[in-house]
Amino acid sequence: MPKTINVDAGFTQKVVITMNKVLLEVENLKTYFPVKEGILKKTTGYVHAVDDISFKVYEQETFALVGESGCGKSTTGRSLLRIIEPTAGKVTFDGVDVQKLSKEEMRKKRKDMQLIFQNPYSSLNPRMTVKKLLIEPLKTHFNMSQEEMEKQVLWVMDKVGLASDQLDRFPHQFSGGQRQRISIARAIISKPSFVVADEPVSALDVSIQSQILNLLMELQKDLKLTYIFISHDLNVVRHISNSVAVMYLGRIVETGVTEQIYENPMHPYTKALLSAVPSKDPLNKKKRITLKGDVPSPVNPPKGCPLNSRCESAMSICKEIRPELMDMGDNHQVACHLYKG
Amino acid sequence: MDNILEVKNLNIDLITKKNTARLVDNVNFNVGKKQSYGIVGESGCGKSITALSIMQLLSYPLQTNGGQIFFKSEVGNVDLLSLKNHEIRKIRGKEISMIFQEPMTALDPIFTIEKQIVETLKFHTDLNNKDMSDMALQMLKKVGIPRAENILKEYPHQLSGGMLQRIMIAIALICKPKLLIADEPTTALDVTIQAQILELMNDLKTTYDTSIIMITHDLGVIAETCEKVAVFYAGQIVEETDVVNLFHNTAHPYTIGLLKAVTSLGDKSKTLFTIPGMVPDGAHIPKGCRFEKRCDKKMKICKEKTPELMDIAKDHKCRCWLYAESGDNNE
Repeated sequence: MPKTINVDAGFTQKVVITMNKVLLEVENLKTYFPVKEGILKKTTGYVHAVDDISFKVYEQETFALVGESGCGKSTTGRSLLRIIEPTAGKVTFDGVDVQKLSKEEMRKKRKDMQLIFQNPYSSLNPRMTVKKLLIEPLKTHFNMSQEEMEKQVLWVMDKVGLASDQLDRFPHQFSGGQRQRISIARAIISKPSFVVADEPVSALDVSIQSQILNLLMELQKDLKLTYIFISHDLNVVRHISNSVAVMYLGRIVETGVTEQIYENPMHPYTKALLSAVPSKDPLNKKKRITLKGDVPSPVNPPKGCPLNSRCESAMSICKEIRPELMDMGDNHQVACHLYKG
Repeated sequence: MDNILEVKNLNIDLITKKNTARLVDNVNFNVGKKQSYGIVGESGCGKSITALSIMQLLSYPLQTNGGQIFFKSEVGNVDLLSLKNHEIRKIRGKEISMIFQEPMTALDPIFTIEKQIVETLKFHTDLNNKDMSDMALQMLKKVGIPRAENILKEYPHQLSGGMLQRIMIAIALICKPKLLIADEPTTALDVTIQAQILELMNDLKTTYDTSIIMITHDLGVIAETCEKVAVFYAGQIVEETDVVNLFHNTAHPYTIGLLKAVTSLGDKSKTLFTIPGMVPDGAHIPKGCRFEKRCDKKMKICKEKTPELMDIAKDHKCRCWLYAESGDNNE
């Protein structure tokens, strides 16, 4: 049954998010990287990059993962597509347990699950023309004639707003924004239903950033795409996503409908993160909640709450027991001892 | 207000085998004593090379071509561009210092933090080793580094980005410079760390009475830290005014577009405002106004004649034909 919830999105309009069927379900995903030391490369510990996270992504929704560098958001995105093999957990995509697929089956599955990378300067092969870059995914995933492939390439060029006479150019002949359009074209040419966009606009200038964001939203409507949008930019996330999960040190500390999280943040980390965004009005400077110190090392995450050393409202229990995500109503979940579910 | 720095008719050229591209074209601005002056623009607009030219750090194929940069140094008002190498070295790091964008690459990985801080003192002062170490320690404490005694003995790779940027600031401020140039000091940092660094810079500015030139692409950083702002577009200043006017009485169509693109974020009114097209390439600057192709208010004259940076109100300059005196655009 499709569930409909109303979210008040500011001044005039009401955005209605129709919660379709669950497309992707992540349960207790963990990705650890071994730390090796000495000549014998003995494993001396693990980087807890992604530490037990669970979430659901609904069809045609944009689910955002937001957090600071090193919080595990990119690792999560890559673990979902098994570009990095997760250590434990279950990822169900469209009813299929992704973890159980063989390498070859997974390769075929990636036709439906694509990735857009952050840096369009390094993610495109400089020795391939745009045409070659775009035909490559078609050759991998389909058995098409040259003619069909060319038709598909022209279709995708038009979709991302590039001219067809640019097909024989090399990546270095394009600007950053255009290159990111090529990356997007490469991701959507196999007509996937699910795209992980890993910081797709952070390498771009402000005026170009908005062009790419508009393009992503248009494509979502046109092609009925589901996005996982990974970003550190809170303004961008607020604009593009329906649901958001705030990550800190490999764990989700707060998750829910985007507007709700931005209007009513509950976790001290989310509050600090939102207050740290510089104000766009010199007359109206924000009151800051400044977090002291740096993010602790994910090799030895602190006992108890991962934020306890930096949190203003830390209590004695925070140093002892790790808070679990608790439901605060309306799909709003928060992992903090300040609240009792 | 007294000016500490006056940039007059500065041009910077990029020399290639085929031709010469003018990347910074006739830029004029003044920075007052104790003022924080913001330079904002997108990548390639010439903001960073303007800063480098103040320090005479441009190297081939970039070079200044005409213009003067007057700086009120201890020995009087000097034109930085006319100084010989050994003369500018006495000013660099002592009276004018700079913070770079990437703290991870700006520090030398093979020297301890202490060595890198003391290096500046060794060059500019006659202090003995003990005093220099003490000063380094004091400075680290001032920029809010915990366990400063231990950190002095550590290497850059052992520290996080936020810590390294604090150390860069410590190095820049150790000789109590009159002018601090900060080139995108927080771009490589996370938002919570950015908030810490901006706060620190504001505090230090008041304690040291330093003037700051803040170069950034982030209008939020400008709003938080600057008093006066110049907006750069394709190598020219297109608007210059105080920060409140810039955000509340925005004049130039480019600035208006930039602000709209940023502030419409978050308001989910379907599509984001965008400025169409791209910045013109430095080697093929169009005739007329450089923003004409992307401008939504363009007129006939914009294509033909380049507008000057003109006064449109008190302390508000704008390079746009929209604000020209009626007599000027009748041609």
